[in-house]
Order: sequence, then C-alpha cells, then structure tokens
Amino acid sequence: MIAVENLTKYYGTLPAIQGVSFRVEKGEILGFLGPNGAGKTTTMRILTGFMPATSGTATVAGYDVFKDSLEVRKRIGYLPENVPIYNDMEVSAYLNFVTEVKGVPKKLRKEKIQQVIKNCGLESVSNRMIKNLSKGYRQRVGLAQALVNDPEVLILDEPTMGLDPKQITEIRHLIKELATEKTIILSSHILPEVSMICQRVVIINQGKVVAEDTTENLTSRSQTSRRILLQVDGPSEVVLKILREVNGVNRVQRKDQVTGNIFNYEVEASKDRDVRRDLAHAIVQSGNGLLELRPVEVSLEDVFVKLVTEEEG
Amino acid sequence: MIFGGGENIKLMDFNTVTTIAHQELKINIRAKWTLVFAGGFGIIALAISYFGLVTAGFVGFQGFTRTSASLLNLVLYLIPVVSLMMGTLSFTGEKSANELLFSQPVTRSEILLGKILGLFLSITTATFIGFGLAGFVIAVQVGTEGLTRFLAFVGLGLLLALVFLSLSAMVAILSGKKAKAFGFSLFLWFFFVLLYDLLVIGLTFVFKERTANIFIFLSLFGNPVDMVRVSSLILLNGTTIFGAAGAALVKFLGGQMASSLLLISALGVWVATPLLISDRVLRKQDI
Repeated sequence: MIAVENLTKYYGTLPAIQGVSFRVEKGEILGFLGPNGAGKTTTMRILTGFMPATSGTATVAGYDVFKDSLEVRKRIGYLPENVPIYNDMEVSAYLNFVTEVKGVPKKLRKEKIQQVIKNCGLESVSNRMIKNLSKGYRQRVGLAQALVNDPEVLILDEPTMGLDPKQITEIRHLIKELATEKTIILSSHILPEVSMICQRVVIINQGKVVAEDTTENLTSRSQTSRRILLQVDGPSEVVLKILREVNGVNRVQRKDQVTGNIFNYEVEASKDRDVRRDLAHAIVQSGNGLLELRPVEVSLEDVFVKLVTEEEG
Repeated sequence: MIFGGGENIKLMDFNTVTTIAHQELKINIRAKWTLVFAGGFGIIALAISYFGLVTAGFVGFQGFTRTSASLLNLVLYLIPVVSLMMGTLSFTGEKSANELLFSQPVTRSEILLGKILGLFLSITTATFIGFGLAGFVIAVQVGTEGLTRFLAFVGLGLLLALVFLSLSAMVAILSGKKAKAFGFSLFLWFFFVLLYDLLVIGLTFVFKERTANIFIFLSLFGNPVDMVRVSSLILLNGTTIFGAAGAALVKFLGGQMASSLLLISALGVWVATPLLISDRVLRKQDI
C-alpha cells in the first residue's frame, strides 16, 4: 500500500533524511519511531505532499507521491503534530468544511460527519467552538478531520499527545479498530504505545532507518543475554556468592535494598540457557528466603535506546 | 486555467476555490475583523461628510461627490494598511489551519486564489456595510446626487484593496515567517503611501523639464496608490486639482475615459503580477 524507496531530503545543505526505505502493507499499522529531529515528520510530510523529496521515490496506493500528489492526498487522512483546526468554528461546521475540501459528495456529508463524530467521541462537543475545547478534544477533532472522508491510509503524528489516560485508551482502541480496513503509519514518542498498537516498527535516527521489523523480532534480536531479577531475604554477601556459583550465570549485581536483609539482585546468564530453576534451588537450599524471581524482558524502549545510542556513539 | 508543477497538471476547480473563499470570509467575520473595519469605515465616512467643511464655517452632511473627495486621502491611507495586515495575517496566521488546507486534495493555486478571494470578500463586506450605512444616511439627509460617483469611488477603493491583498500574499509567501512578513508589509505601506511620491518629486529635480514630465507620467504606474488617487480625481471631475501627473496623463491619452481605463488596466496588472509570482513560489515551496 505504501512503498518508500531511498527517500532523501536536504534542507539547504543539511540532510533531514537519507536513503529512507520501508513498505507498509494493506491493513498494517506501522510504528514510526525516532528521537526529536530524526526525520519522522519530514518523511510524513513528504508522503502527504507538503514538500518534495530531494531524491528517491514514494508511492501510496500505487500513486506516485510527487507526480500524483492530489490522488495521494485523496487517499490519505493526515493528523499532523500541530492539530489542524480553525479556532473560531464549531466542531460540526469545521468538519463540514473539511468534507467539502476533501470533495465528499454533498448527500454523503451529513452521514460521514455524524459517523466520525460518534467514532471519535465528539457528540457532547459537536456544537461548541473549537477554541473552547480541551487539548484532548482538539486532538480528537484533528483525528476526526483525518477520518471524515474514510481514507485508505492514515498518517498519524503523535495521535495521543495531550490526552488523558482514558482518552488514550479509547483512541488506541479506535486506531486498532481502524486498522482492520485501513493502512496506518503512526509516529509516537510513547514506546509502550507503539508496542501495543503496531505490528511492525521502523526506527529512524539522524535521518536514516536503523531498524525495521516486528516488535517481537526487534526485542529478541536485541537480547544478547538472559536477565533475571530476584528478591532474596538473607545476608547479601552470602547470597551473591551462592548466585555466582550457579552454572551458566555470567554476572550478578546487587541492586537496591528493600528492607533489612532483603535485597534485589540482577542475574545475567547465557541467552541459550534457562537458569531460573537452578537459581531458585540454590537459594532455597541455602536456607535463605526467595521472595521473588522473574525474567527481565527487553522492551522496545531498551531496543530504541540501544540503537539510538549506538548510532550516536 | 491550468496549473502544473509538483501537483501534476490539473484544471482549477472553482468549487474548491469558492469553498476556501467562503471559509476565509467566515473566519474573518467570526474573528470580528470585518465588523471592526465596517464600523471604522462607516464612522469615518459619516464624520468626514458631516465635518468636512468645518473649516469653511459649515457643519452638516455634504453630498456624495464632496464626501468622496474628502474621503479620498483617508481611503488611500487606510485600505492599503488594512489589506496588507489582513492578508499577511491570513497567509502567515494559524500554522495549524494552513496545514489543514495543504494536506487536503486541493492544489496550492486553489488555496492561494481561494484565500485571496475570501479576504477580498471580507474587505468588500466591511466596505459595503461601512460606506453603505454612511451612504444611506447621506442619501436621506442630502439626496442621491453623485451616488454613482460615490459607488465608483468605492469600487476603486476595492480595486486598491485587491492590489494590496495580492502584494500581502506575495510578501507572506516569500518571507515565510510571520514577523518578517509583517515587517515587509509595513515597509510596503510606508513606501507606497508616504515615501514613493517624495522620491519621485526628488528625482524630478535631476531631470530637465521635458524628461521630468515623462518621468512623472511613467512614475504613476509604479504606485497603485497614486493610480487610484488619480483615477478617483478624474472620476470626481477634479482634474484641475490633482497636479501635473494627472493633467499630463489626461492630455497624453486624449480623454478622461481612456485615462481611467488605462489606470484600471494597470491596476489589474498590479493585482495579477504578485499573484502569479506567489503562485509560482508557493507551488515549489516546502510547507
């Protein structure tokens, strides 16, 4: 549905993105991650026709973004970082204007507007002036304008920014629902959000794609060792010695003290060996109290920080 | 009209243009700019009509021709600054509102033309409400003699507004940033309304009489404010009071009608040129 090949954009002599390539299949939600200034917004703005690329190609639904920009924009709903709104308008009048500019046939406008007002939870504010709405509601209005003509592709730049936890859950749910029939690119700084919503992730740093895969593959690839967290009640020097003697353990680190003799420990073991049973056995047999034992999962955040730090290093 | 560039060649859709224009008008009315200017125009027109002859010891409403003549200088000061400010504000205003338009399936030429048309309609509305109310009071008090001239005078004022809206769009698009655009707009106002005539008069001292006359004649076309001033005075039969440039023009063209047509056509060029430049730049610009 979306194919980006070797996209490069220079602002004067400064490269904003260089050789960016990725694909998004129909019905897929792609997470677009990167630190500030990495080139996420530039890529999104090229896809939505705000600016041409210096070189490279991009197609949306088979249409060339540069040659058939209008055809592409007919098929895209875009929610930019600054929510595109007119402050001095009521929500429903604003959405009516958007349907007119998007070329929605007159007889369908009312129905489309009512549908999107319902989907985005705007019923209670549909007759209020946009300037009097909270940030969360403005964000919903922005999402509503992107959805109002039922586009095939949605490009959402930080869609849950400024929303309260309840609204965030609702919007995430809505995005997931939409993905059954739409293709979505979503940029976000909230990495757990990307893990939750997106099937695949593109990580961009300093204008270049540094990783592209499913969240599961990214986290498992990034895991070079197995980490286990333990909470043990016992003299810490003794506990450390016992843990280090377990076969397969590479490193043991005492973390924070919980209370008295109770400490947290982090054990690092080989990736191909599960030492949890041996660790539990060793502690229990030594007569110390094993209060907790759990594996430490590598999060998307860990992968992201690792990739971005490696690049900068 | 065919527009190309980065947006593929496409016939301009005038429904889209009118939708954007209607939206721009609505925004300006909601933001109360239009009403403020309407009120301002109305009060000024009434005040000038009523107190216009106070120095001659007469207080009371004058007829349409005299009111137009008295209003002329004020219109020449006010219309350019109002148009420049409204245009600059619209083209560099709320970033998010502009982003909304640029991400829609509409060409940049349609956006430009729609916004200019909407702004022009806003100023036209303000002018008609303001001068219309004043005109109504004058008609009731003094009668309708000279009404056609007054209407033509208002028309020339609107043409001047269109020129400066077109210039404001060009300045905003070329400057990119709000503060810079406002700075340039204010400079343009200062240049055309105050500085230009001083420069021309200064330069005439450099030339011999015959060259100076031609220079003054040609200089008229370099300033839309002067063109409207001269056209208005021709319209109001004030040829004897508007000096060498106008007299030379009427003589050169052999009549008032021809002079008016030439000046109005030249004003048309002043509307079209900045718009074409804006369109060309906007179509290639990164947003």
